[in-house]
Amino acid sequence: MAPVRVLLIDDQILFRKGIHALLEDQPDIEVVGEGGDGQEAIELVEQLAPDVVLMDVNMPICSGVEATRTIKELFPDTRVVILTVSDEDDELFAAIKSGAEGYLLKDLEPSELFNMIRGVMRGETPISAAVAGKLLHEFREHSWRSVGEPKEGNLTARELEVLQLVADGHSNMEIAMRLCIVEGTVKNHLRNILEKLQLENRLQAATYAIRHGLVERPRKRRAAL
Amino acid sequence: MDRSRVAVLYAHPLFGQGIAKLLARDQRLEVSCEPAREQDVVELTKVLLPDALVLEGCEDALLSRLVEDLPPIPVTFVDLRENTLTAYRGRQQVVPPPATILEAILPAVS
Repeated sequence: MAPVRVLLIDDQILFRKGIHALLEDQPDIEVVGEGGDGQEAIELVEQLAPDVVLMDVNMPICSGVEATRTIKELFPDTRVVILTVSDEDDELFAAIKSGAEGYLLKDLEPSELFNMIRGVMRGETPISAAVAGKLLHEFREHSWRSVGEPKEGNLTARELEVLQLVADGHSNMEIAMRLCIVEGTVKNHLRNILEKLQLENRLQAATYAIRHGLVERPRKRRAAL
Repeated sequence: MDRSRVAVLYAHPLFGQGIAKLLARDQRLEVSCEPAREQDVVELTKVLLPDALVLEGCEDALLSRLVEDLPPIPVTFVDLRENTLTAYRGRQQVVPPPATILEAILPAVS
């Protein structure tokens, strides 16, 4: 199987070079490029067509959130995972709304990062446990800015089942196995869910569903969203 | 030729282990890498007895005090939020700061 092609975007040069060095030991992951700001990220995605971008948030010239929004508009198949030192609410929610597939804090163990890169290629949504807790707290406090009125009436019972499993942090394959359907059917359900809720990705769907009470709170312990 | 021993003590595993991996590419260095809380740095350094020390994740306000308590070896502080290094040699801060970690710990490897 071809290695996962990763682009590293971070203005902290030593951090970026260090991750690059660590990833070189992973035979199934290939670092195809590095950049130090959001503008460079957009240009490198166009040139290199990576599978996954590890994106810092606070960078000069163009922030990681702005770059993510542009990348998801122009190259929707590229997966963007935020990798940041910041767990500030504004940046977290802005990153999710920009279309990022995941949000990781830089206090990860290297092995966790490797596994999360592999996971995002399986359709999983990598979220640091501390961030997931913050999201849930915000949902409980009802302080997250609304992305629209609930439209759950449009979802079928099966789609709600799928949505619950997405919110629990399951991959498409896991959902397929639990519901005894093929993975392609899960993808169809997800596509319909996103279309009906007018959202962009499974992370937004999960957070929306919890926010509006469409599903129960996530039942997996970590990386639940 | 004996290799110089460099210890990387870190708060953030991804950053600290990445730095250690980069330093280990230099044949002149023997690199060890340990997680450490600020309050454990001095004790851990006395156990490891490195020729040079790289510290990641210390509060700025603690740097000069920490250097006073450490053996007089080259000490380099790195920060996730900053590209600039803070380096001490013989308990004196290096001004201007070295551009690279290798440059910062050079007295230990020359």
